[in-house]
Amino acid sequence: MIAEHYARKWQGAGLIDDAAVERILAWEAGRRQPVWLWAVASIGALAIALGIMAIVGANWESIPDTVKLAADLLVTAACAVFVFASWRRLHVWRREIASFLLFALVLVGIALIGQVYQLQSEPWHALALWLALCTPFLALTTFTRFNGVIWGIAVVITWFAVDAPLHLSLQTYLAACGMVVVASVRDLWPPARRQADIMVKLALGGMVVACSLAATFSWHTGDSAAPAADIVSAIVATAIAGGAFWPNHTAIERRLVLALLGASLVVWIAALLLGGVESTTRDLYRAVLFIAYWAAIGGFAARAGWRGWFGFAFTLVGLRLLILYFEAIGGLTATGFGLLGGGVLCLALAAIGWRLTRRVTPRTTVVP
Amino acid sequence: MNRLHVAAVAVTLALPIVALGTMIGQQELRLSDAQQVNVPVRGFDPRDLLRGHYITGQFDWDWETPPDADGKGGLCILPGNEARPKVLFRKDWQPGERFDGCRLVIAGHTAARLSIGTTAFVPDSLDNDGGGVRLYVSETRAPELEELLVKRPGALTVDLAVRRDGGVAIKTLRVDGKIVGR
Repeated sequence: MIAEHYARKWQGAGLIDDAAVERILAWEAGRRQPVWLWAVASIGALAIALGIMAIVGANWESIPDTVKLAADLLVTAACAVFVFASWRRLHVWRREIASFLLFALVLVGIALIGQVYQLQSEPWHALALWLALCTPFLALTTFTRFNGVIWGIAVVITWFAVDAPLHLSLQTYLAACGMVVVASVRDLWPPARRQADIMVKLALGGMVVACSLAATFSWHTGDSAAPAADIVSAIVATAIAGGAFWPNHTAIERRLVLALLGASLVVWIAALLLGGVESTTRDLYRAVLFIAYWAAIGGFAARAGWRGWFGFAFTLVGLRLLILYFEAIGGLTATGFGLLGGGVLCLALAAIGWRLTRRVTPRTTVVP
Repeated sequence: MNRLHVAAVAVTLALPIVALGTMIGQQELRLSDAQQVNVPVRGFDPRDLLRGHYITGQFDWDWETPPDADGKGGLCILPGNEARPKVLFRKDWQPGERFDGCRLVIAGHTAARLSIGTTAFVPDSLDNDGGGVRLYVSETRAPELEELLVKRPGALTVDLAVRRDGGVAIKTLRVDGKIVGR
């Protein structure tokens, strides 16, 4: 229905001819799936699964530990066999879904053993064991973005659960660099390229978020007066991430990613140094840092032809300018003239943003 | 899809199942190779915290002579038929070292800050980062056990399986001597 809507729209605009419209509609009709029947079947399957869980949950205390452990091991083993069979027969979605279930079942197994034997340890120990047991089979049997993202989330959760002597800002920055390295290594295996692609995008997104928050709040380190060790760690991590990304990518991809890594490093270090500055103008410095960072991101997006990201970067710069304006006049409702000025500033920024966004040449090459 | 690749996938898929089975076997071995001692549990002063399905508590040892300093060492369970055995602490005791006159020795550390008026001893293998011990209880039974910890101290006890090297595992939970959970 959606395809027909757009096909007719493009036909009306003279972009495609009648024959093309008929071919598109015929192709779409051939691929049509009984969505409502799938929905009903899914609801039924979900109800059965919930029913089994409810029955097991209600009788959890009555079930002997040996039965719980044996059932868990059996289900996990059956799932592993199913993954293997699906992998051999090249059933992509069965293999991916079964791998995801196996990933979850192993965590359930670790938790169950911990519960039955009253094991005491930090949660990250269990999470690290889970990743150590599951990463090898996930690396060999899963190639979809979905499982790549799920694994990445599990790694990030484990990393932040570790009671490391690092402050949050550095921990976030190192996580982003580490994920770039992991994604770059994953990218070396051709079947896993799409997975690596989404992982590197998420890692770079995480780095941008980490640096934006660092620039906004100027997070303090444990010792703000001497953050040298943190700065050296960030430089080394960035160099490793850049070095890992270098092979197997085009010149434009390298330029963009390395420019983003470099800008992020500079902003992160500047934010760290600002954290130790006790000055009435520190808020102004932080705002300038944030604006400069997002202006740089907007510049990279413009060069890459990403209109959407350019527009987003410009919007954030505009919002920060607006906040700065209200901070300068002493509050949102301090004066009616202040609100009038804010409104004018918004309109002016929107007009400038519209003009600049239209100047960005749409993307023609694939870049991460 | 060569043989090596197939073998690698099979091995990586078998790894979690083998590891989980090994963990279960290891725990069973630890329990079978251990002697048992029953210890009361009380709330973690100043509050009894119930977090999720866990009760955070501390063991209520019956000190023959209370330890005078915090530190690592061994807790000697003295011979006797009392329900709550007398204990002694020796600082700097190492696993494998002799501790004369003891029925069992548990490796751990004392932490006076955890307890008001008395000293807490926490087995190393059960220390939940801060001196407390987490006990898994079912969700339905949790409020009742929490209340029990406050109103009738000593009613909730655990059977500890103590190995020769001083390592400890929680074997069973009891209320008034009756098993309520493993």
